[in-house]
Amino acid sequence: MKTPDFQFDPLNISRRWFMQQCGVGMGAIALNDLLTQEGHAIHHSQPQFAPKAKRVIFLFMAGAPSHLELLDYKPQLARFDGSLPPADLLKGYRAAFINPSSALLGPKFKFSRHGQSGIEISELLPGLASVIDDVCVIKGMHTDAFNHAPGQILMNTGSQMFGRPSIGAWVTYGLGSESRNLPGFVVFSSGSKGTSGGNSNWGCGFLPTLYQGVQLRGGQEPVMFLNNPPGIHKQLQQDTLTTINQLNQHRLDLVGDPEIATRINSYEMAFRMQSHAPEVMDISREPQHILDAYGAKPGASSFANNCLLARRLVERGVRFVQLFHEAWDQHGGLVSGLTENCRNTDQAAAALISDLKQRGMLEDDPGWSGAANSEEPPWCRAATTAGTTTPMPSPCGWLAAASKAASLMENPMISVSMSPKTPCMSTTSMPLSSTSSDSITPNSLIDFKVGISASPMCTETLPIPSSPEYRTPV
Amino acid sequence: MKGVWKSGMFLTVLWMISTAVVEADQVDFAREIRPILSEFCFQCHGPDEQKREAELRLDVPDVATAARDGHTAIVPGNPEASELVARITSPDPDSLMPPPETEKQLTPEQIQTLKEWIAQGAKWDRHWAFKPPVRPALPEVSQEDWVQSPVDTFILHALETQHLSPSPRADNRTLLRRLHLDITGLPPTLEEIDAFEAHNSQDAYSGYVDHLLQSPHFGERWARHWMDAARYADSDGFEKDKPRDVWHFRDWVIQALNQDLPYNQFIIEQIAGDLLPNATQSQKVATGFLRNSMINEEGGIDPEQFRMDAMFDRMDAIGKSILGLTIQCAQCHTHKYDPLTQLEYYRMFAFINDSAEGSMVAYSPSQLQKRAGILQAVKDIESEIQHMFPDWQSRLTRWENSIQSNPSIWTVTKLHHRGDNDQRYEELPDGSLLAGGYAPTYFTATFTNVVDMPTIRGVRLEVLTDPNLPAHGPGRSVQGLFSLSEFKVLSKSLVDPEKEKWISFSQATADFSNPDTQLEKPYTNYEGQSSGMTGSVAYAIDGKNETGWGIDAGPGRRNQSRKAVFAASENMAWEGGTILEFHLVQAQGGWNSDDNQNMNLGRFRISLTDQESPTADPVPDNIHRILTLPPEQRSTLQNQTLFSFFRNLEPEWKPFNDRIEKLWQSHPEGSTQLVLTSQEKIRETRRLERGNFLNPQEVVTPGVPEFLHPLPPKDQYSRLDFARWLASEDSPTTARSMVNRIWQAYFGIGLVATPEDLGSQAAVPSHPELLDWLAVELMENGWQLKSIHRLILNSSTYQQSSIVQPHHLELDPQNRYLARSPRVRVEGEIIRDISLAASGLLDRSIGGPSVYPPAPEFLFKPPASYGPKTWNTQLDSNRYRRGIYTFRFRSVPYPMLEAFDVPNGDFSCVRRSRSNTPQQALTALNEPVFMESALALASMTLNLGGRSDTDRLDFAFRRCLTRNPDPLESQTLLRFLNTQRERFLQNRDQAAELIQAHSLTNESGPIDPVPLASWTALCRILLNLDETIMRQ
Repeated sequence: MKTPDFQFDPLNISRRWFMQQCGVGMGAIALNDLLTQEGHAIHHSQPQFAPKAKRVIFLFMAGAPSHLELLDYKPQLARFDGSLPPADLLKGYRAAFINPSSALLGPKFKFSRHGQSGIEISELLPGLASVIDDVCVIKGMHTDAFNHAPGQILMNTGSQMFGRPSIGAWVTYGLGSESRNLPGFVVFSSGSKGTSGGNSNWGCGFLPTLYQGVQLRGGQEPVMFLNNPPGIHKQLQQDTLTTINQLNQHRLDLVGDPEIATRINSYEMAFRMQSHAPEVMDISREPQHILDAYGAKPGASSFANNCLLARRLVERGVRFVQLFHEAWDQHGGLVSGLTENCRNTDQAAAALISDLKQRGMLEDDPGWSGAANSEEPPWCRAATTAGTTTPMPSPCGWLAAASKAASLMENPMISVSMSPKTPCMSTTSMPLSSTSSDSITPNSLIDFKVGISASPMCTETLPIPSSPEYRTPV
Repeated sequence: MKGVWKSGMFLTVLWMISTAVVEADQVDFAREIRPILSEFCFQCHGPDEQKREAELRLDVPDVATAARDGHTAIVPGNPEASELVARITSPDPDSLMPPPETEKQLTPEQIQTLKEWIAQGAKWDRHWAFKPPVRPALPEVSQEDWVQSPVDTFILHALETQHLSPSPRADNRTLLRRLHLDITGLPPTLEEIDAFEAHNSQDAYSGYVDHLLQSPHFGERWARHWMDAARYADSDGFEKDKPRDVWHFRDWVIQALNQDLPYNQFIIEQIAGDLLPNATQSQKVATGFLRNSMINEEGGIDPEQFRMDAMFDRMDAIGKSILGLTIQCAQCHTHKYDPLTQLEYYRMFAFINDSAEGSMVAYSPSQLQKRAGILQAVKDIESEIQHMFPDWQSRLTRWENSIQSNPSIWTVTKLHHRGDNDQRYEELPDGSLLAGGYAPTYFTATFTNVVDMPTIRGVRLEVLTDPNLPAHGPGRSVQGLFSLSEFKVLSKSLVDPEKEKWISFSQATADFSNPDTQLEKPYTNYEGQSSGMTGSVAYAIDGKNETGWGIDAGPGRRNQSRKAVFAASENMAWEGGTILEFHLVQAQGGWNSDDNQNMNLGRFRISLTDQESPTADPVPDNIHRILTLPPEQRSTLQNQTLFSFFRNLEPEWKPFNDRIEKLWQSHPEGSTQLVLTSQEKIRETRRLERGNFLNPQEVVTPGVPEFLHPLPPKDQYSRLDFARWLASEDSPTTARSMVNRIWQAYFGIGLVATPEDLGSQAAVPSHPELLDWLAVELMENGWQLKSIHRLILNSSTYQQSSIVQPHHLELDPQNRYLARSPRVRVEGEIIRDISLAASGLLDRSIGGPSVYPPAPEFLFKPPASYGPKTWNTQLDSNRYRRGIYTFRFRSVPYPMLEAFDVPNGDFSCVRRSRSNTPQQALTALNEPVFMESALALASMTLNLGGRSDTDRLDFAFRRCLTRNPDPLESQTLLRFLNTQRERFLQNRDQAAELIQAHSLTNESGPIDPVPLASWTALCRILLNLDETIMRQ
């Protein structure tokens, strides 16, 4: 009998788990990369472009910003304002809150073209308009998850069932962390609510816990349990760590377990984090013009501060930073709600892009990847019916086409698209829509909203597969 | 160091290859060939028809050896003639297998093995795990005196084959601590250490193992593993992530394990305990296992979508935790590796697709006892009445005759929901509506219907119980209650919609209304003011939203169908047809609809009558149903129920009735538990194309996969048959899966490293014969899990030292051969338990509701959590309960447990990861409970640990580590102590601050804070040592 090869190989096992358990979406993309990294590429051979991505900042606009008011201008919809949609449009239509008396709503904000690309952008996003040539807008993303929690989890993990690794976990798992003093995957939350779906949006699923997102906050204690407890002064903490490590080293000498060496390292890094993190998190060290550009205020807790912190973190080697801003669930009060949300986010997001560019952190050929489900839901027809089919002279027109092609295929599949010119703004369209409180009146709104994540996503290049589309392994 | 390690690797590889060459006899299909075929070929040439290429499958011998287009994939005995060999060695990329684009490549060794196998006759065999385990003979070993348990022969045999030798027995204290941590999850107390030292011998050891296996903490420690598999959590998950009551299930698991409930019974009760004859509360509670799935009650959801998600989750849990198979793959398509078709998946699914999604009221053991006493006392009083009034029977008959033969005056009316789909309504066959999905608070539900009755003089609203509601309803509050603030009807003419009128009601009657009850927390507004009160049905037509009709009859009698009748002052109908609009105002409830604060109607039905001034029939439906039976056909229970109702109607019996009423008022208040309840309406199960519930295909009947053991023939199958099938001795994987996980818990890695998957893609077992031997042993021992624990714990294998020798790392870095005991970090819960036990803070009470230890407040508020969550940090000893009792919000995991790899119940987990991170260091150093433990241990040390620093150090050290410090440790720690003492003497304020900040009492503390503060600093070190959190 030959010796069985049962040596435990976590990567091998994880890969098998992935093959068996993972759905589609961002997780799949990231995995593909890490398999490439590990020399186990299973889907394609050489990327078309050499991957250069090192770090990712993902701005997740949670709650569903309306793409029709921000990035997807539908002038024809104005004509139908207040009228009921054609009956056949809603036939068999599955959505939250819509009922037969929900009327159509025309655009409430003005659009104009910006930049060399001439992309149409809402007046609500002057900041984004100013950097639009560094941005790629992707239209034509679909989802079949029309409730917040499952939709957001789908976007972040590739499955609307809980428990799969998030994109940040995959990326950190695949690429490791460059920072010795900070976690590899960092998460911030802002907005009027918390992130629907909670921790699972940045969880590690079946990957080791090491790869899950670590939530940081502005303020006194950016990392949970980072500060010395009251009465433990600095010297005592240092003596404590030294003594713990001495005793652990002594134990290592006696019992020889390499795990003890890892523990010693963990305690050392914890101490470094204690001294390092407050400095990184202290935005008052930024010059005034930078603070002004972002609209950041030291000591406050805001999306603007988080954008600036994200830049400070990626500068220091943090691999993946994800900002959740959960405030976009406008059922009623669309006009005031959107105006306020854009005021809170647009300037800082645009400043982040400019700032990164200025620092040479936006490469020429970075990529953004999005997952789309091919099954075109009826609401999409609604948009086409009511709106125009104006060709989009944007760098990503072909993306929409690719997605369209995908939608014609018989079986749902993941379609991954990459823009040749990146850091981008993406819109994930999804139904949701309309009002809860006033939907029974004839004049009620119907706001086809950007479902889960009209997610401006800045990347300093994440290596992604070159082919515009590929099938998921299982 | 790195170089040495590398050359070690090299040696290992060399040694493995040379072993292979020396022992190249018969190729073993199961171990060597199937894994290759599975990994490289089955994806296109395996079980899945839809993905199969060239009609070739290599998992079925007849097909693989059949000629097709002049080629034969495998010609047994003739590798040269076999197309497979030609293809895997082809230089032509178009012909090469596996295709280059798959990026899968066979190694030369694998190709050679395949060739040898074909040359030897290409014998197929079923995958090992799909054949029932057969007890193998114990292998021969040379070092017989090492063998203490049959387990040892298998381990020793493998070690001897590999020229490894076992490690010596661990020292007593290490062994004692190991036993305690492994069996109970708590370190030994000082008394236990002394007692163990005093009686140490092999006999004493076995006795000690038995003693610990009897500890009530055994169930707590081992329940945690099962709760991971059962994806236990205390909240719904998804967006609202509302708290739920499921802790009765946790208590059930702890008790079942403590009592060593046979594992087959353990499974049967969890899958179908409710269907067992005369099911007990405990057997019903056990079915909480499948109900641990998440529930989404976001606004506007389709409840069926998330019921399906929950069903998939249940199937996954059954696959991973019971069968040890990845059956969830077949949810969307036929399994790629195991011979499981998608149809077979849905046939298993059909067994469990019968359940309602509500909860039952469950009681603690003492409450159960009290309840039984009350029911008996009521019965006794009723017997007393019958004894004292021998004419009771004729009185009853007289009453019966007086009320019978009233034809129903009511016509059920259909209800069309006119709302915005926030709360969803499912129409049931009897014309009633069942509310589901999001439960708003402070809202009005509006329904319409067109009615052609010429006269309408009254409306009846029936509120009905349903197994899909909390505690069976009839409301949706956590207790199954509701408040109907206002009942309003707008009547419009069908002919002329301009004509409309709000109906005024002259009278409202009900068969039951509760006495006036002010609503308290959580049914309050944001400022904490009550949302009003419930009481008489008249409150539903008083024009005030702050009063409503309530039906709370108190614990034990609360959840019953009731009815209200509203008599109209005028004819509600219009000539030519009437559009009726029913407005059900439900304005009571709390401000936060993301929490359990609703007081909504659950299931209800509306009927109309043309009779003037109708009133509510005081006789409930269940009594009417009994009355329809001829007296001789009524059961004892029915007669009792009838009498219990009737006795209230006799004024003469008032004293008796008052006594009974008083008894009911002392009835204990239980709590709800999510359970399975078979619903009357049988659901049709269909195969779902790609697992999409909107794409149902053919109807499927309950059944089991062909590759597993058969189901005994029967006309009609129930969930109980499936439960028995899962727990059958014929099941090839059930027993293996369980013994493998017990092994994994003791040795860090299972005999199969992938406990969730024993199928074709499973990791190769390290000791396959031992796995089978243990599986058979379990079944032949009446499925007593403790018998397996005993075999392992009494083995020499278990008792070895865990000291790692350099050659261990070279030859067997993962310790699969077990030439030493593993050294493993304990689970997150146990890290907390050790700290609390060592410091004396631990509250060792067992069972009961989950508790709220300290956690950062910001976690439970936006933007950290979606909505505000209630976390009332415990200030009593519940603050220091074992980790298993910590309340678990799925979307906001408890930080300390999360840091130490505790899964949060999102999906079935049969193998935890074990990480070693800086966050863990920060947590153990700075988290409040660790600080409180350090302070408590210091305080105890100063009080009880002797007078000298050395004695005190020994005391504290032993409480954490079971052993005394060695001289170097002692010296290091005392030096640290002296330094800190010096420093605190200079800064007494810091010492006082340290004590003040971490002590719960507001007392001023010791007069001199310096000793306590310095010892706290030292104890903090002890709690943070690697060894403290290791099982070694």
